[in-house]
Amino acid sequence: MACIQKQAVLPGQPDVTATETGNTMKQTEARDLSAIRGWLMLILLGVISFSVSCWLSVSTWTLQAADNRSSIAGMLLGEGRLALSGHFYELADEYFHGGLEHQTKEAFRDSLFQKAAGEISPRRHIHLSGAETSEIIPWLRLATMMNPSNVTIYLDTAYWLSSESGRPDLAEQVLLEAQVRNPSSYKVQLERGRLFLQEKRIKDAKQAFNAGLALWPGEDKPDTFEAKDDKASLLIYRALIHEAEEERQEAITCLKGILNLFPERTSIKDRIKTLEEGKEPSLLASQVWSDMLKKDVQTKSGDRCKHPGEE
Amino acid sequence: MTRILTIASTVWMEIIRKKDVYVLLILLGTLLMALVSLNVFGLGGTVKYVKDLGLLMALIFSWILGVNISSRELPSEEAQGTVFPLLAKPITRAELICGKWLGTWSIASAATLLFYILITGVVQFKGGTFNLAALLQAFILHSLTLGIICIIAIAFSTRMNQDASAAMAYVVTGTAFFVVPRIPELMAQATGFSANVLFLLYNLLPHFEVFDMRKRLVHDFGPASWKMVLIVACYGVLISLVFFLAAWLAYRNKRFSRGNLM
Repeated sequence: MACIQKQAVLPGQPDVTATETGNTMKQTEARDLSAIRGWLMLILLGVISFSVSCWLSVSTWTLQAADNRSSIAGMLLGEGRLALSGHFYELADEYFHGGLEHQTKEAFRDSLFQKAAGEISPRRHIHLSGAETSEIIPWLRLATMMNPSNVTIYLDTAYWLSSESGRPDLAEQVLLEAQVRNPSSYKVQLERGRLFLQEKRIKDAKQAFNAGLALWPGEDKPDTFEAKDDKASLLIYRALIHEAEEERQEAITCLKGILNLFPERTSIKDRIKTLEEGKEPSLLASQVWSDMLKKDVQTKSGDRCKHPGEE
Repeated sequence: MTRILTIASTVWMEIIRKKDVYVLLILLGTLLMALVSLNVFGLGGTVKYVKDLGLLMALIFSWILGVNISSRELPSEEAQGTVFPLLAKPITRAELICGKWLGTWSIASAATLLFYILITGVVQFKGGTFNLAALLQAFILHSLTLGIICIIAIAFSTRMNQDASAAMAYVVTGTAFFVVPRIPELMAQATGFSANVLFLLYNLLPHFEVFDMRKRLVHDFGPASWKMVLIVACYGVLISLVFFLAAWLAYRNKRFSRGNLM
């Protein structure tokens, strides 16, 4: 700019000092304008930051009120956390099978690249056992962090901790967290009751089964087989505890509740009859619930390799 | 060879000055610390997830580093006009590409080595170990993957600006990482033309899954057979040569104009 001005005024013999003074003034004005602009930007940024902080506070409150999305994962990832949760849950399963991925239908399996990849990353179908199963827990933990409203993941975590890892104390903590995150879920109470029965904490088990019955069906549809079967489990465990505590009439009431749900269960009818006659059942209540707990564990073990849609 | 090494050394100096590697190393360290401090329901002795996520992050970070530094080398020479004095020297364009590739590949591999050392340290801190032979094989194959990634990015940068070549390199390498191993699965549901296209892609694109030893390392399967590692390494070299040829063909007759420097 200065050069252009000098060139423009040279033919008319201008006052060079005046031109320079003018330039200096213009430079000063430009600096002032720049400073003002800087301050205005700063104020604007302050206003924007304040508005964003207010908006975020409101959003956080809204999220907290809505559901479990108040977690850091929820705020950072939004609904994407559900997909991540599912992925981590699958990873836990993959780890349990020694890194073997779920086998899906493939157009071909014997290409050169597939063979090479199989050599580099071997596919071995093994099952972890004992303390080794602890390796799947971090993935289950991450899955619950991403989606705390998925009760199934909590129940699986508690199962692995109490059975293979031999840490029922941690399983109890997990179920407590599940209860806090999903206060209306009867399934958490059913699992807590089972855990307490395994540890022979009858009083705690009784409370948990009572809570489970009070919460049933929760958010589930009451006419589905799964919901009805879960209620039957709650009732049978509760009936057996009544029996053990010599409360025959209450036990009969619970057993009749099961018959209302599943009239075809003849073993229940026989047990009611025995109790009504005042006789001692052939299998004591404690033996029955021990067998039931073992059967539950076996059922879950049998489900380990079942994945819908797989070959 | 001396000329190629000279170009590679200037790439090293430039990248060290730009501090990309340090940033990624600090980021990896921070993420690993966050992983280690994860409260797994109070359960101790779990280390496989640290190995798995650590190696995954090393792969992602080295991928980002490889693409970013490789795609900016040639366009920045052109943008700054330094390509003119460079090509005025007795350097062929093939040597220029080779030198740039050697520099970017070697620095990406060196950074990966640092990542591996950091991960091994963190895993040992958590009470776990790696099988050293398997770790060495994994590093060799990882480094070969980076070689392919770097030459792909350089090949695109011979005819595109930095951003476009980086984007294209991410698309191609990302497809090779995530889509190509799933093509047999996708083909099971595809028919006709789409199945043919998928089959073509399966055979055309690089197969990065054959270089991925993470599962073997995480689940302690021990080292792979060295014969297989050698075969895979040969495949990696072959793919790199193909992209090098493509890069050279695109660059050998390219005309530079001072008016298009920016």
